[in-house]
Amino acid sequence: MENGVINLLFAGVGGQGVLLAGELTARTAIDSGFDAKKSEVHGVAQRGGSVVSHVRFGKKVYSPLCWCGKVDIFLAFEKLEALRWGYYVKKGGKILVNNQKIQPAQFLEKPVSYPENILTFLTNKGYDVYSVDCIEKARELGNVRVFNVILLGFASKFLSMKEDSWIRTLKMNFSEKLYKINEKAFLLGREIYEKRKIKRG
Amino acid sequence: MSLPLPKNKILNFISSHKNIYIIEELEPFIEEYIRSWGVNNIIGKEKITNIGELSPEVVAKGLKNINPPQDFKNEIDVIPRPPLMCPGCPHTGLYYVLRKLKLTVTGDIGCYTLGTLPPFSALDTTFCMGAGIGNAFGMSIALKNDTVAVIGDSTFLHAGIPSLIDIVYNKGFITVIICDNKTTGMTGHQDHPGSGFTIKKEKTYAIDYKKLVEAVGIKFVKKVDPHNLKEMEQIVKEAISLNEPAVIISERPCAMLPQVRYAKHNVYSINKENCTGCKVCYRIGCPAMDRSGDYPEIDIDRCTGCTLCVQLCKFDAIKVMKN
Repeated sequence: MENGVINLLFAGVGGQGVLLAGELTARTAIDSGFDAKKSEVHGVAQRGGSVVSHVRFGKKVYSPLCWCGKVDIFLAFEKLEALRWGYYVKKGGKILVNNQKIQPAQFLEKPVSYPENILTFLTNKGYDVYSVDCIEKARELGNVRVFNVILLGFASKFLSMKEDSWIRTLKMNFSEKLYKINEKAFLLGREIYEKRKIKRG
Repeated sequence: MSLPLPKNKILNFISSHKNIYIIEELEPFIEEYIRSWGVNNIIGKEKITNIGELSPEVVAKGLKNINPPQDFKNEIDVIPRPPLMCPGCPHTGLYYVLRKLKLTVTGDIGCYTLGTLPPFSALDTTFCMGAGIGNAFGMSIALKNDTVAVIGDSTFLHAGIPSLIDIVYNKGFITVIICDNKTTGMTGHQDHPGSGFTIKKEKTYAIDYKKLVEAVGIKFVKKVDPHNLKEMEQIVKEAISLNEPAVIISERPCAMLPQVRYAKHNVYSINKENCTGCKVCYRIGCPAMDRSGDYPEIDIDRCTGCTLCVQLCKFDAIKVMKN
């Protein structure tokens, strides 16, 4: 945190809902009375490419882009993307990873092997890494697409916005049909954090 | 930004500051404009690169020589993840056929530019909007081969018609494929004169490409569903064999349009008893297919039921799972 501004990075694979998670966070920050700005990669969203979104909020934000190496909290929706963008996080910063592996599918002639032990690598680099099995949990809820909101719920425990502000934002940004399950997903993410806190002691 | 630039405002700003930096991406447009007024106490391209996109790190490096933290590529293999065409994308079937026929393919900017990447590696040129048709015409003369131009529906309407007229007028005989996905895909689903809706989502007349192209003077005009691989291959072959210009309208709405995305569809899965692991189905580069093991696996959450992989499978190993 520099000048009271929180730097958040969201990254994953196009189609995972990375940009939506960033959007919800920025809107919640504004709902909670903060100034917020965001910027993102378009075009490859929904197309399986590497997608990244920057969100910054605080009393007054001038630029939407996070400084490389100054990110406070990084939400990685896929493990390889956690590795790709991890160096944006400050030393000791938090990396919250959805524990999922998505093989890049485009290399037909020369398949490339997916790097192993990504979470250990990042932990050894000095980051505070949390891994969450969001896909499995989302499937239990009945809609695998809401896994992004589970990770967002988990991340929300590290942010100063209050629960009712998040819920208000979810309500405003989802259709009536999708709101209920996304609220459930969000609260489940928070619950997972609480349970883990007890375990960690 | 307004043009001409607000001269007095800028000159006042410059005269009231000690150091003036002009930070602009690529070419020094504003900088040269200001220098043309005889202003010289400004710093621009001598500090800021004219190559690539700007980022806070690029600016910091240019102005203060600050190096940003290094990524992990030297320590661990961070494999790239370029974008793919979406599961069920109409372009997929078309590019599969173009790759198979090993044609020279010219194009421009849109989702269909992704046809340059593996597994298709089918698109050979990408210049400005509409350039593909003119490029194909020139190449067909120079290389004396069967050159095919691809162009998106919205791109065709704003920049493709004049060059199509040129081909007919100057007696070329290339094949132009209009990738009609009923929307402007890559920039986020804006409507256009061929989609049937105004930009405000009011119903309006949708241009009839067949009539339009016929009026230009093209005699061979065929509509094909790009998800029908056999028919697409047959019609492309037919078109390139002609000694006259041809237009193929590859028609299927974008897989990401809500009416397509949320429509009921089948989902497919691999029958491991029949699958020989031949990997022919990988040739469509479907993001819903995991190919990390010995056998492909279909992600049922992402399968759109487009049947392209089913059409490629010679062993009847891809079956409908559920509705």
